Amino acid sequence: MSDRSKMLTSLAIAILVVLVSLPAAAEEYEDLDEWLNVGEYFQMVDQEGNVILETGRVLAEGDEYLTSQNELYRVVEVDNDKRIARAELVEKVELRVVPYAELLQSAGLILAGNIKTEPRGLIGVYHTHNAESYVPTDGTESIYGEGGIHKVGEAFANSLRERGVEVNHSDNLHLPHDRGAYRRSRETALELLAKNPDAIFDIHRDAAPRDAYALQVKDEWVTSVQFVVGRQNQNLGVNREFAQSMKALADQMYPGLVKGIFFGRGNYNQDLSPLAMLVEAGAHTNSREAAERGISLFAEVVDLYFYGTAEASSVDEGEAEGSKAASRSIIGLVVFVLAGAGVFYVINAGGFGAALERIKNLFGNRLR
Amino acid sequence: MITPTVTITLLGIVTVLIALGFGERVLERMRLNTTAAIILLLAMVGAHFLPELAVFPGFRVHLGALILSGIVTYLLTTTSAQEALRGLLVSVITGAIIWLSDKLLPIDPESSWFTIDPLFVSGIVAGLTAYVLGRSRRSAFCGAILGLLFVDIANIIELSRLGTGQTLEIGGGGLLAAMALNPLIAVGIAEVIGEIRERLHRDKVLTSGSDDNE
Repeated sequence: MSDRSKMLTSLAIAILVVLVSLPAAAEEYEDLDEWLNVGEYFQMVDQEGNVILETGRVLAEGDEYLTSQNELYRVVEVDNDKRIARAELVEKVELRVVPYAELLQSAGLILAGNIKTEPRGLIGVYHTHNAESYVPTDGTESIYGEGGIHKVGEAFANSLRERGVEVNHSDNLHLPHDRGAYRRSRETALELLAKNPDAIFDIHRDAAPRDAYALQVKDEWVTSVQFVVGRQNQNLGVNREFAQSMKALADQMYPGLVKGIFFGRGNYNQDLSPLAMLVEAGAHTNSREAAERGISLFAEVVDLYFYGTAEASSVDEGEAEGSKAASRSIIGLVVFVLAGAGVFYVINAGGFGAALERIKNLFGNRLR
Repeated sequence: MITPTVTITLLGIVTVLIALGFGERVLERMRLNTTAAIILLLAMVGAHFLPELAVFPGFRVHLGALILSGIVTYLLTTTSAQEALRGLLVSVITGAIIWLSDKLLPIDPESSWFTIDPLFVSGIVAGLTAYVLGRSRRSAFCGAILGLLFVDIANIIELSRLGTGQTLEIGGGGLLAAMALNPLIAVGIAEVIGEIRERLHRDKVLTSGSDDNE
C-alpha cells in the first residue's frame, strides 16, 4: 500500500470514528441544547432597574427591544452571572401602519402603482423549532418531534382560513433540536417562498414566566405575541418596518396583543424575504389553548393588514421611511462589499500604485 | 415573493468577477484555470435547482449536494496526497466544530461570546483551519463543503437512533444553500489572511506546505 493510500485509509477510519462517536456524545449533552435551564431567565432592565423584558434568550450588548409602549431600549451592559442586561432608552418610536403595497415598493418587489388586485393571497407558516411545547397543556416544554407549537401554528392557519386566506402550513421537521435548526429550516422557508406567498411566519414559543405573556382580552385569557427581527440580515430595514406596522395595527385592534419586538443577533432566515416574520406565541409556562386563542387574534391583524382596508392607503405619498430604510440596507451592503473588495485588491496588488497599474493592464488587455 | 438568495447572488457576482479576470491568483493557488472555475461556480448555482431523490422511503438525497460532493472529489483527487489529506483533515475539524457549536450553544443564533450565525460557521472555521494547517485555499473550499456534509450525516445517525419519524435527508433542509455559500467564505478568509500575512513577511521565506507552492 502506498503512503497516499495509507494516509487516506487512516483518515477515512478517523472520520468514521468521529461520525459514530458524535451522536453518542449528543445524548450526554442533550440538556445543554436549550438557551438557559428551564425556569431561568435573563432580565433586561432600564436605568431605574425596572424590568423591561424577561426571557430565556441570552441577551447581549447591542440587542434592542421595542416595548408594548413603543419605547426602544438598547442593551449597553450585560452581567452574565446575574443574567441582567442593562438597557438605555434610545427613543420613543412613533409607529405607523406602512401599507402593504408601500412595503413591497420599499423592498423593490413591485413598481409604484402596480398593486395586486386579488382579494386574498397566500400566507406561509412553519416552525423552525418543532419541539417547542407548553408545560401546563402538553406536560413538558419540549416534545421530540411535533411539539405543541404545531397545534398553535394550525390554530393560526385555521383562523386565517376562516377569513378566506389561503395558508400553506408546513409540518416539516428540523430536528435535532439544536443550533443547526435554522440551517435546516432554511429549505422549508424557501419551499414556502416558492409558492409566492404574501408573507411567511415562523411560529415559536418563548421561554419566560407565565405573566410575561398573559393578557386578558374581554373576558378571556390569551397569550400575547412577540416579534423577533434578526439584525444580521440585509432585509433588516424592511423587516423592521413590517414588524412595526403589524404592531401598530395590532395596537389599534387589540392593545397589548403584540407585547414587543426583539431585535437580536442572527438572521433567522429573514435574509430570504423582507416579509419573513418570527413570532413568539406565548411561553412554555402558558397553556397551549391560551396561545391558540392569542395567535387567532393575531391572525385577524394579519388578515386586516394584508387584505383589509388598511392596504387601501395611498402608495403615492412619495418615498416612505420603509423605502429609505431598505435603500440604506442595500446601499450599505453594496458599499461594504465594494470597500472590502477594493481593500483586498490593493493589498493583493501590493499598494495603490500597483493596483492602478493592474487595473490599467487588465482593461488594456480586454479592450485590445 | 422570492428575493434572490444570498448564496445565488454571491455565486453570480463571483462568477462574473472571475469571468472579468479578477481573482486569477486565487485560482492559480487552487490550481484551477478560469474556465474550470466558471464551470464549477455555474454547477454550484445549478445545484440549487435540482430536486431531491427518494432513495428509499424515509431517506432522500439532494442531487445538488451530490454535485457539490463531486466537485470536492475532483478537487481532492487532482492534487497531491498531502494536499488531499489536508483537505480531509480540515473537513473533519470543521465538521466537529460545527457539530459542537450546534450542540453546546443556544439554539437561537444568540450567545454571549459566539455570535456567528450557524449558517456561516462552516465557511469561517474551514477558512481559518485551512490557513493554519497550510495556507491552503483548496482545503478551505473542500473543508467548508465536507464539514457540513459530515454534520448532516452525524445528524442522520442521531435521528435514526432516536426514531423520530422525520424524513432523513442528505443535502436537504437548507444544507445545500450553506454548502454552496461557505466555500466562498472559506476561500475568502484564507485568501485575505494569507495575503495580509504574506505581505507582512514579504522578505521572509514561508516554508510550510500549501497548495500555493506545491
